[in-house]
This record gives sequence, structure tokens and C-alpha cells, in this order.
Amino acid sequence: MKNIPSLFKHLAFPVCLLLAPAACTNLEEDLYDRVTPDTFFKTEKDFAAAIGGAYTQLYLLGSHGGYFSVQEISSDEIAVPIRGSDWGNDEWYRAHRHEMMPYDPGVNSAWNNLYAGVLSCNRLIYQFEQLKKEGSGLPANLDAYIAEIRALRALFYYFLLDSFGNVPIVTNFTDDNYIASTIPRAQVFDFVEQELVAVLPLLNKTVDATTYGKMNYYAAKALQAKLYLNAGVYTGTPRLDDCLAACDEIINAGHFALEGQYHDNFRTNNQGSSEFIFAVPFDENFAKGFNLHMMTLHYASQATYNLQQQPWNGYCSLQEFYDMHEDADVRKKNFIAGPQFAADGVTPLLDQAAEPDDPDGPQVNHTPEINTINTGALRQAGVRIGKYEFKSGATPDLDNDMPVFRYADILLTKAEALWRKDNNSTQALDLVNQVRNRAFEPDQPFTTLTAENLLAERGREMFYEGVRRQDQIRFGVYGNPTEFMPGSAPCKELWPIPSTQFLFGANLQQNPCY
Amino acid sequence: MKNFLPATFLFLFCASNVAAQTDSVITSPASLNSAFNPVPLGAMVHLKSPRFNQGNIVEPIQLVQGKVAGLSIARPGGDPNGRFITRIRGLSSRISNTEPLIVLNGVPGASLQLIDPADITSFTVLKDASSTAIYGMRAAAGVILVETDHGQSDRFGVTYSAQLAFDKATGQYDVLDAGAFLQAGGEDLSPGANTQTDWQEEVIRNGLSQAHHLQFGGRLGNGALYAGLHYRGVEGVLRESDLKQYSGNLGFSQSFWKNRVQLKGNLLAARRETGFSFFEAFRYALTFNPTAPVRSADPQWAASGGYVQPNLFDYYNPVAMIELNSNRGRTTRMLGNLSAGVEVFRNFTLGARVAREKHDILTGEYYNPQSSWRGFNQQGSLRRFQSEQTADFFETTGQYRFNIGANTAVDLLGGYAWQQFEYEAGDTTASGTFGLTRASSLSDFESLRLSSPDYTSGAFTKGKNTLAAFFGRARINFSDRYFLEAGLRREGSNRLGRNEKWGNFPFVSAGADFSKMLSIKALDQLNLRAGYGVSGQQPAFDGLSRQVLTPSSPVYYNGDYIVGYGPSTNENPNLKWEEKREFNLGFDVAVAKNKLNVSIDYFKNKSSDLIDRYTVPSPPNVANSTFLNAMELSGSGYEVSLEYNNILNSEKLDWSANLVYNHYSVQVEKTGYDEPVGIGYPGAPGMCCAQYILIQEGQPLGQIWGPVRVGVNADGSIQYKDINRDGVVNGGTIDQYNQDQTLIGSALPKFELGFQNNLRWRQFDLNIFLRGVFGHEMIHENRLFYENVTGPTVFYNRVRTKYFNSRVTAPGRLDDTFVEQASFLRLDNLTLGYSFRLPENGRIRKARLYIGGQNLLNFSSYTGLDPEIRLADPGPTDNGARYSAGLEPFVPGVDRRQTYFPARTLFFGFVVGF
Repeated sequence: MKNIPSLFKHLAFPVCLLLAPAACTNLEEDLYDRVTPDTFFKTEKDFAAAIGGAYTQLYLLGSHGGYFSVQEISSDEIAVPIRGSDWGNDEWYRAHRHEMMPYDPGVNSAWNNLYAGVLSCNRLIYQFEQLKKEGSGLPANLDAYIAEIRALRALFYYFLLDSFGNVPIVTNFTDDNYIASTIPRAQVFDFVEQELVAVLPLLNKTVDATTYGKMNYYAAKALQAKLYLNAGVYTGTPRLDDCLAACDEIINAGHFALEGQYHDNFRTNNQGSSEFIFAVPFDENFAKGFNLHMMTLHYASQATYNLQQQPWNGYCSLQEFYDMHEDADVRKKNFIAGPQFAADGVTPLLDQAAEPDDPDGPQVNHTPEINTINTGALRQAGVRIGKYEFKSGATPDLDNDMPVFRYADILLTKAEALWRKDNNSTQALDLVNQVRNRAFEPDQPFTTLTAENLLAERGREMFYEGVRRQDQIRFGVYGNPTEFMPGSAPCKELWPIPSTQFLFGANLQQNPCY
Repeated sequence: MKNFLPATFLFLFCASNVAAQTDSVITSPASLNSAFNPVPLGAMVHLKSPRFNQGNIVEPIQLVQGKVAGLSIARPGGDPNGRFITRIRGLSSRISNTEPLIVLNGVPGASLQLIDPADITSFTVLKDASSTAIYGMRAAAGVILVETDHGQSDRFGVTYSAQLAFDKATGQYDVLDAGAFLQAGGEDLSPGANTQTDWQEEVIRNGLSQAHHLQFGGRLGNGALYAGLHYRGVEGVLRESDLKQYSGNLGFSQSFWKNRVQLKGNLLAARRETGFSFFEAFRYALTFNPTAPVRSADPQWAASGGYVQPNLFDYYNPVAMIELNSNRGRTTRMLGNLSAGVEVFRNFTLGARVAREKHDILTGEYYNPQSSWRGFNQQGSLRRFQSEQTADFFETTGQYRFNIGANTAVDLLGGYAWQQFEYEAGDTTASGTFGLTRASSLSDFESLRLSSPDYTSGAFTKGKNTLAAFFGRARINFSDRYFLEAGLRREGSNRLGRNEKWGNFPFVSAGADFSKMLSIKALDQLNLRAGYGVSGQQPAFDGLSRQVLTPSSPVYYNGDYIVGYGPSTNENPNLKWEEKREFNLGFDVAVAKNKLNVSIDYFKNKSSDLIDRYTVPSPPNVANSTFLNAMELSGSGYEVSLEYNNILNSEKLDWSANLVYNHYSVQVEKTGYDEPVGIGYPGAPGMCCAQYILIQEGQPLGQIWGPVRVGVNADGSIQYKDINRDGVVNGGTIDQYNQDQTLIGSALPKFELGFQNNLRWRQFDLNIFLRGVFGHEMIHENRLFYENVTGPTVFYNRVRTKYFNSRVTAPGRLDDTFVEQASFLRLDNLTLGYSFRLPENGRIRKARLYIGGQNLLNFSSYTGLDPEIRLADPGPTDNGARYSAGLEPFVPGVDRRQTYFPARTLFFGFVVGF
């Protein structure tokens, strides 16, 4: 009868009816297991966690199904073939053929994640500005925080500018009457440019653990360099001198240098690589979401790396792209090709469900040639992405950090800007060879720079770093047919605005040809 | 007017008893409404224990399955721990509660698992909104009042009853045997000698169940006392699926001061120990390699515990699954309930009720590192879920009755009710290496320790749901011929948006008994009645109206990782309750001293402001989802109940029959989206993204959507119909719903039927109960996935039905040929009893023996094992994944691959009363 006291407790209610009616009708909702804005922003750690919430949106770069997937698969370096009944949805088949549809979940997820990043930034800017008005002293330098968040927001807008092109710009958190409406791509470019110009003086110039993975001064500079390099595509007006200025400031700062070995950038413990200007600091336990090994490896390769879960047998590269690599190029190791073995290096990996018509039989053998990327693709076909080190015993989330802006890219960017100004620039040739020679022993420098060898060199150096589609567009070859891509119209360079965005009265315009 | 002011009528004190006006304070709402208004004005059905289903009954709701027109109760398969889905008159919500509000001994929202079915004396099913509106914001899906024994019988006595039951699977799937499997290209895993394993036989068993009941009770002086003690041990047909339940019920009532003060209370307690086993074993028993032995000494299987467990996608040795792992639970539930009534002055009564309910739930799962099922990938894993829930209820009422003139009687009632649910739960998963090889019982599980916890994760939930209500009702009776009733409940919930905390739920109904006016001799009753009411449904979860920040992945910050936070849903301060408006028209006729009773009800309703989580544009919204009241459903239907007593007019052989029939339809009026929405994922392998069901405005619920098969091409691929005749047959995504896809099935039934026959001859009684559901179609997943296995799934065994087409050799997708008519008529229960003739006033008051069976015969053309209607869908469980969310009521008609096999039950038992 231990319930009795609590029964008596409630006998107090007739009294409440007479004496304190409000108690009888109190329907305040207390949430115990969730965080709401009312209960947040109390301590400095909350601020840190809040800013973290905006950076967290960058974890989408490491996983399957969103912005990074569409970027990579629509380029000529990655495809996800429909292997038997696995990966049976034709979304990625179409993405590789530049046939994305407004209802594709990947496109929708890209949009949602990028705007979630933008909106987190808007909210944080608003909240920090409120705190400034209230004169609260927490944290010490609110302006610097706000500048950092604006630089991060500029990065999200740069991704939107690059992929969807004509997108709404929302900067105000509290405007209830805001109706999303399409802004032309050139104006989106202007916005990103102006934001960066405005915040750069306030950004932290320190390069160490306190600014690692943060939008510090040089991260914003690198963003500027990339923005100006592609200005011709975004606005029709090249901005090569501005691009060079940004590159030079990074190069001359002395904080960054090429790593001795190319693959040192992609090791499990690659945190703080001297080449990283801005990276997403993934962690297998904490900052989860870098699933490349799951996305690319064959099911049986679980035994090669003693993975804790079975990988998904999806992403692979294509023969044309793979064949661009000479055998002497260390970057050919970016691919996992040929017969596969267990961790002992001896036991062949068997695919017990290999197709009867697979010419290589049951042993897993990743051939550069792919029979088709449509229904009927062989389970083992296609070389896999081996650029990052896959730790033995890895969980589904890799520990490797993922660079967004890398020093080598800045060198190549500067080279390209110089080359575009003067096709015979020796400085441009030197910069390209500085990057290229690292991959060869002995050096195999170029003697001239052409559009073809520059694009190819960028392809080898920057494989699976999310820039290939952009590069192909900038070099004007994105719509050219490749093995499984029959050729596409120039308007396919932009992605479709997701169909869900047209619900609820948004004033958006679909991009041409969707 | 004799009934009108019964001398013993003292008080009525609780919302649950609002409808229950009787001439005794103590009794259950046995003569619901009748004391005051002999004509029930709304659609309600009252059933007492003699009419209940018999047999191996575990869940109380089984007692009335098929007995009430308009009350659908279904559980696919024979899982003793499976859940019965209950619906009254179709569906009125999507994500909120879709099951009737249970009011147990006056306590709303109580769990029926508090009681043993043997303790229940009556069910009262309130179907229409004019009857349910007085229950306010939780009543839109109907209300079921349940009363347990409080010592109703006049004589104090003791009853002991016991029952033994045997469960056997009704059937098995036809799959390829080892020889045929090899011929079809499957791999031979047989070690040397030809092995042939019938995996279905390996996982099923014959279940043996028993139940014992010891019940004391009766009137004692100015009160009554009741105590029931119960034990049930039930074994399912799947190995290791079982439950044991110990429960007790203590009830009393007492009156003082010439009945001016009445006290009544009861204490219910139940403890259930559950073996869930792994129902997924049924799925993998169909596909696992028939040439593989269960175990093998071959060293290649040493790492998997000697069990043959190839590491392939969605492919598990079902015996290893059951034997290596464990999945058990334990719940303890209690309900204390005390009520008092005081007649303050003549015909004016004040009442109060307090109740507290408490549930403790513990479940544990253990996955052996040697098990490819959920264990191997994690080097073993352990999951523990613990939850504690309490509910406090308080209610107070005042009631006044008076006459106006000689012929008009009035009954006024007003009251206040308050209820608060608090819950707290922790769900923890740890992976690593365990000290034990296997936890086979929950106590083993509790002693399990991680020797090296590699990885742990957990979720903690805590919340509070508070409801408060004021209600009033007036009833008028003119000369026992015309009746009028009207009232209002004003109720608020803390889960509503801050601008919409309180809702009003009015109701009005009227009726007339024309038999008094017509003076036809044989006519006992000729009632016409009509009612209209508004009932509601509160949001199903806390915080739906709030902006919620959810932890995102931790983020690198100054050399450390801290948890980031971001918004996941937007605030909606205008989030309101769901509202159902319903009109009910009823007609009852009773002739020849109630020998023949016919009752017909027609209803039409509209459920609006239904809540769902909507994707909203972002920007301008902070998050890309908001909970909105944007959906609307409408429904209509009719119910017929026909009762014919002593059909043969014979003293010797009494045959009484009761037929219930109902038809309903539910239509989607608004989805809240511009385009039709496809839902219901088939799952892996290979069919993940073409949905089963299309939700379209202006169309009925339960539309199975897909392509139409016209034939098989020469290359073995399936040829689909070019429905829009554009020369191209489009692909399989739901977004192409209007391109070469069409309605290929209706998942909800045309009508439901229950046919009860009671025969009595001398000391023998015979109960024959037939139940049927007609006109519904079902997606037969085992055929869809496993009838024509191709490509990389050559490792899967195949299912064979009469529809097998050997010409199909390429992968297909859902088309009309996988959608089967699933109408069924089932001999649900047959019981033969013998009651001993006993001397009056002898020591032994009652002695009865009985034998019977459940689910004895099935008439259906459906090729799956169980044509039982699927009212809601649990979703896929592929490759070891768990069910991701709750049941989806908008996806009926899917016979999932993991469905527990149905069982046939034989039982016998006895009752002896002293």
C-alpha cells in the first residue's frame, strides 16, 4: 500500500479548486529531455556548443546521400553503379548522367543541410548580437565570434552558389515575413564576396589547435581564392587578380607547406597537416560522419580492414579517370584496384554472391572497367577510393580529418590564375610542377601547361576532394560525354531546386531545364 | 418513473462513470444509460463476461474480438507478446493515438495489461462522438470502458479455474528443398553428405500454455469484497517466445450511514516476464540455405560458434539467432484506485476519485559475438531499456436530479478532472567483449558485465503529460418516450501550443422510443436516435509545439570535442488538438420479449486539424520541419447487430445467435501537401525506394499503388503496362505515381463480420464463433521478395506459391500480381462445455468442464499464412535493423516478411466454485 501517501497528496485538489484555481489549470509544458532556446545560452560552453552546431553541418561532406555525394557523382571521377539489387535506386545513376530531378533525396538533403548551416549561422549571429545589446560579457569578444560565424555562413553560401546557383539569401533570423525568393547567381556571388571582405579584418590570424577546423583568417582567404577563381563561371566576369592576391597572402604567410608525402594528408592521424588551411576534424567517436570506407569498399573488404561493420559496396571511380594516372604517380594509390585479400594479405577475399557472368569469378577483383553503371553492374566492378587511410578495426566513422581547403589546391589555384592570364607563364608551370613532382620519384615535371594537362593534374591531385565538378565546368568540359555520361546541356551545370522547397508559398524559381 | 430516483442512487463521481448511471452505486455500468434513459442515445455496445471469447486469451481485448460491430481488433500472427491493434470506426489520426481510450474502473488511459482477462466483468464500447465527447481530448478514436469484478455476486464464494492450451503453427511456407535449391543455382553448403534442413521446422515448436485463477468474492454486509489471483504461462510457436504473468486484483466497496456515504476501491497488480525471442527468425527461415546444416564441425564456422553463418547481406541462420542471443523483458504494473461519494442533500451527490498507476518496464537484449545477427559486427552487444511511468488521476463531480412536473425528469452533472502522466526511460547499448557466452534469462542479463566496453551509447527520455478538464452534462427524460442529452467538456493539455491550450468538446443527442406510442403487442422497443458530438485527440508527444535543439555530432573546439547543438523543429505556438466531428443515426427494434433485437447505426465523421511532422521550407524557417495541424480525414459507415435468442423455441435445445456486421470507409480529405505522398517502404534487398501506398486527397485510405504486369519478356524480365500510353514504361519511384502506375489494391476491408452461436442442451453448452473480414487486399511480401529470386541473391532460398511463374528470371518490383485478395472467414472459436448438475446450497456451487479450439478453420484464397487484416505497418527490418518507428496506420495491408507465424490452439479446462 505504498501508493497511499501519494493518493492523499491528490486529495488536496478539492482544496485547490476553492482556494487556488490556477493550480488546477496549470498546463505549462516542461521539457526534461530536450533543449529549447529558453534553457540554452547560459554558460560559455553553451556558446561553444552553439557555434559547434553550425560547424556540424559540415559533417555532411563525409557521408553518403547529400551535397558531397552529388558533387562527386556528377563529376567524371566517381560513380555509384546499380549493383544487382543493391543501390537499386536510380538516383545516383542519373546523377552521374547529369539527370538529377527536383525530387531526388540527395539534392534535397544537400539543400537542407546547407541551409541548416546558413540558418544556424543566422540564428547565432542574431543571438550574439542580442547579447551584445544586453551588454553581457560572455564570451569576451563577441564581434570576433560573429565574424567567424559570418565567414562560415559565407562558406555555406559558396557551396550553394556553386551547386544550385540561383538561391535565396537569408541573413535575418527574426524576419517572420521573409519569403524565400530566388536571387540570381551573380548576386549570390556578390553577397559572398562582400561578406568575406567585411569580416576578414576581424578574423583570427592564429594558425594552431585553437583555430583548427575553424573559419580563421586564412580559411576565409582560401575561400576567397576559390570564389574568385570561379568568378567567371559564377558571374561571367573573371577576377583573376583578386584570386592571385588571396593566394599570395596565404602562400606568403608562411604557416602552410606541402607535406613531404602526398598521402600524409590523408592518414588516420592527419590532424594538423601543414597543408590543411581548413579541414573538417572528424573523429571516430565524437565527430562522426566520415563514412568513405563504408561507401566505397566491397562487402568482403570488411576482412581486409577488420571493419566493425560490413561496408556498402557503392562508390567507385571510372576507367577513363583511373587511366589518367601513370604507374609512377603515387596518386595512383588513390585507388584500390585488382584482386583483394584479407588482412593477412594472403587469403583471397571471396564474394559468395558474385554474378555468374563476372569474368573474375568469386574472388573480389576491382577492375577499372565497369560493365555498366545501370542495373546489372557487377558487384566487383570499378576501382575503389583508397586515398584516405582506412584504419584496421575502423568503426563506420573514420578518424581521418577531411580537408576542405588544402595548400596544394591554393598552389594550383594560383598557377591556374597565372596561366589564364598568360598561357606561357613560367611561374604557373613552376607552381604546378612543385605539386606534381611530389608525386613522382624522380620528378616528372611538365614542360608546358595546357588546359588538358592542368585539368588532369588538378584531377589527380584533388581526387575526391569535392572540386572535380567545379573544375570540369571551369574548363568547359562538364557537358562533354564520358563513358557512362552521354553528354549534357550547359544548363545541367546547376542542380535542380528541390521540389519540397516549392511547397508552402516560397517564391522560388526552378533552375532552367528542370 | 420508478427508475428515476432509485433509493440507492447516491452518487456518481467520475468521468468514467459519467455515462454509467445505474441503480446501484457499486455495479459496473452494466445498464449503461438505462437507469435514466432507457434508450441509449449514442452508438454504444455493452458486453458482459458470458459473451466474451474463450480460450487461450492473454490480452483482455481478445475477449471482445469480433463481438462488437465497428470495433476492429487484429494481430497478425500468433506472437503471444504481439500487440493487438484496435480501431473503432476506422481511423481518425496518423501520428496521434489511433486506438480507443481505455477507461479501466473509472481511470482513463489505464493499461489493460494491469489485469488478467479473467477479472473482467464487462466491456462498454462507445463508438460515436456524441457518446465519447465527454471524454474530451483523448476520445477521438473511441472509448472502451472496462470494469473488473468488485464482488458483484450475492453469495460469497471461491472459484478455482484452470486451463491447459496447446499451440501449433497453422502452416508453413512452401520453399525449395535442398535438391531443388541446388538445381536452381544455389550454393551447396552441405558438408559431404547431402544435408537437408527444414529451417521452418527448426524454429517452430508446439507451445504449451496454462492458466490458473483463484477468485474469492461476494457481498458482505453493507459492502462487497473481491480478490483474484492469476497465473498464466504461455508459450508461442516460435522457440523461446513466451510469457509468464502473475497478477492480482483486490477490490472492495462499502457504504455507511444508510448508504449516504459510499467508498469503493481496488488495487491491481501484474507482473509479466517475457521471452520475446526473435520474430525475424521466421523471415530468415524462409531464405536460409536448405543445404546448410544448423551446425557444422568445419573449422570455417568455428568463429561463428559452430553455426553455419555465411556473412551475406540480410542472411542469418535463424537457429543461431535464437540460440546464441537473447531478448527478454519484465514489466510490473500497479493501479490503486479509490473513490468516494456523499449524498450531501437529497438527490445531490458529491463524488471524488483518486488513482495512481505505475509501470516499470525492463527489457534486455544480448547479442553474442559469435552471432552474425547483430553480434558479430559489434564483437557482441548488450542493450538495456528501462522505463518507469506513473499516472496520477483526480476527479470530482457533483450531480443533481430533479423532476419538472409529473413527466419530466432532469439529471445534471458537472465536474473537474485532472491527470498527469510522468515517464522516464533509459535505453543503453554497449558493444564489446562480454564475460558471458550467453544471457538466457533476464537475471543473467542483469549480472552481465562488460569486460572491455568498446563502445556505449544511450538515450534518456523523461516527460510529463498533464490534462485538466471541466465538464457538464444535462439529461432530460420526457415520459420515458423522448430523451434529450447535451453537454460540454472543456479540456486542456500541456502538449498543446501556448496559444491553444484549451479545447471545447460539445455534444448533443436525442432519441425517442416509439413502441410506447404504437402499442403493438409484440413490439418491445422501437427507438430512433441521433447524436452529434466533437471529440479530440491531444498531441501524441511532448514538445511538438516547441522549437527543439537537438545535439548534433560533437565538434572540434580548441583541442577538444564538445557536443554541438542545432534546431530540429520549429516552434508552432498554434499547435492545437485534433478534432473529430461525428453524426450518428441509430435505430433499434426489439420484438417478442426481446427474442429478436436489431440495432443499426449509421455514422458520418470528419477528423480535422490532424497533426503531422511537415517538411517546411528553410529559409525562412529555422529548421526544416514543423508539427502542423494540416491533415483531414473523413469517414462514414454503418453497423448492424442482430440478436436472435432461443431460435428453436425449445426448452431442451436453446440456440441463440448473434450477428454483427459493419462497413466503414476512410477518405483522405487533405494531406497538407500539394502532391500525393507515397509511403510504406518495402525494404531491402533491392526494393527500398518504391513505396507501397499512395496518399491522395479525395481518395480512400489504403490505396496500394504500382504498375500492372502484362507479361514476361523473352529475357525473363517483367513487362509492365504502359498506362499513360506514351510509349514508355516509366520506372518505379512513387514520384512517378501518375506515370504507368495505378491503383492495384485496396488494403482496407469492405466489411467485417462476427457470428456467434450459443447452444445449450441439457448440461452441455456449445459456443461456435465465426469471424470474417472481407474485401481487403494485401501485399504478399514473401512472394514479392523471394518467389523469383535472381542475381546476387542466389544465396536466398525461394518461396513457392501457386502464383509462381518460372519464366520470370530478372528482378521485378511491386506490381499487381503481388497484391492478393485476403478476405477470410475463420472459425475463431469452438468450445464445448459441460456443467455438472449440483445440489442447491451444496458445498460446490459450480463445476464446469470445457474443451475447445481457437483459429480452427480458415477460408481464404490468400497464399500467405495469415490473411488477418494488417491495420498498421511496422515497416521493414532489414539486415538486422530494428523497427525504426511506431506503427504506421496510413500503411495498412502489408504482410511483412518477419510476421510471426499464426497458431491454432486447442484448450481444455475446468471451473469449480465453492
